[in-house]
Amino acid sequence: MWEEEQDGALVAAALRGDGEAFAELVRRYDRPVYHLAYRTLHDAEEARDVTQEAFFKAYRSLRTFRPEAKFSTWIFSIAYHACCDRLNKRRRFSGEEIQDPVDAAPSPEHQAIALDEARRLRAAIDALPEKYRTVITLYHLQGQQYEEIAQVLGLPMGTVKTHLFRAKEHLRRMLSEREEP
Amino acid sequence: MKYDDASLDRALSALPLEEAPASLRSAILARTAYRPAPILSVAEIVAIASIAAVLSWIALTMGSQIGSAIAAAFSNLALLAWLAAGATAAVALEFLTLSQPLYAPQRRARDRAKP
Repeated sequence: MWEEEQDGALVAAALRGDGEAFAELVRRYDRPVYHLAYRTLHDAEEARDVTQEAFFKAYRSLRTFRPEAKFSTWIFSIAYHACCDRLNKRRRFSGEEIQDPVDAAPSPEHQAIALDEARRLRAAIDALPEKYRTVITLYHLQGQQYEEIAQVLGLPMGTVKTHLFRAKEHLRRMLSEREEP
Repeated sequence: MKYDDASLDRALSALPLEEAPASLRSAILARTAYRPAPILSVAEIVAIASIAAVLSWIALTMGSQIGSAIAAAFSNLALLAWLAAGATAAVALEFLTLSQPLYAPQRRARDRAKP
């Protein structure tokens, strides 16, 4: 709660022309936004572009930010929509639907997963279908707040809960499959 | 390790965020908060562009007449003397700093100081 109030004060200061206040918001959220973009797009260069684009858009439309909203939800939402645009472009250029990797056989990369738990979990998240991957990434970033995840994705809360439940099921299944010899 | 709901939540919370490229933050700040202030404001640019457009229109529609009028004017010694006097006065005023250049940061600071 304290962080939200601080964010609100920083936005208000930035609107009064205080550049340092916006710089502080960038310092707070550049890494989480990059994380969301990277996890959604799986491309470091595109994730970097999306992160820059998101902050640039936020800076330009700071006046449209509603004071009762959370800055984190707002910036994640901008970044998520930028990611969706890029994914749609990819689909248009490739001329086909991106394969849903969840039921596919694990790639050689995934087969050669490290023993380290974080790397295994990351590999399992990467193998999730896009909609589940985004939900689980936001669940991780937003501190498990369903309502805020629903706001970012523009989905009903029930859908978010269903996606999360299925994402966790997939993760558990993949993690246990990989442990078996 | 078998994951139940709680242990999966714990593992997700403990998952470190992706390391952002080193230059990302400075690139964002350079385009947003630390972007150099423009020398001219949007209103000033619009005003200058409007004046330029009107002058261009006049020049295009009355080109030949203006040309002959200017040629006639510059052959008038009294007019040239007045123009020289005006230019000298403008330079002198600039040296005396009686006129301030339109400079955005100064104006912004002034605006911010207003109650």
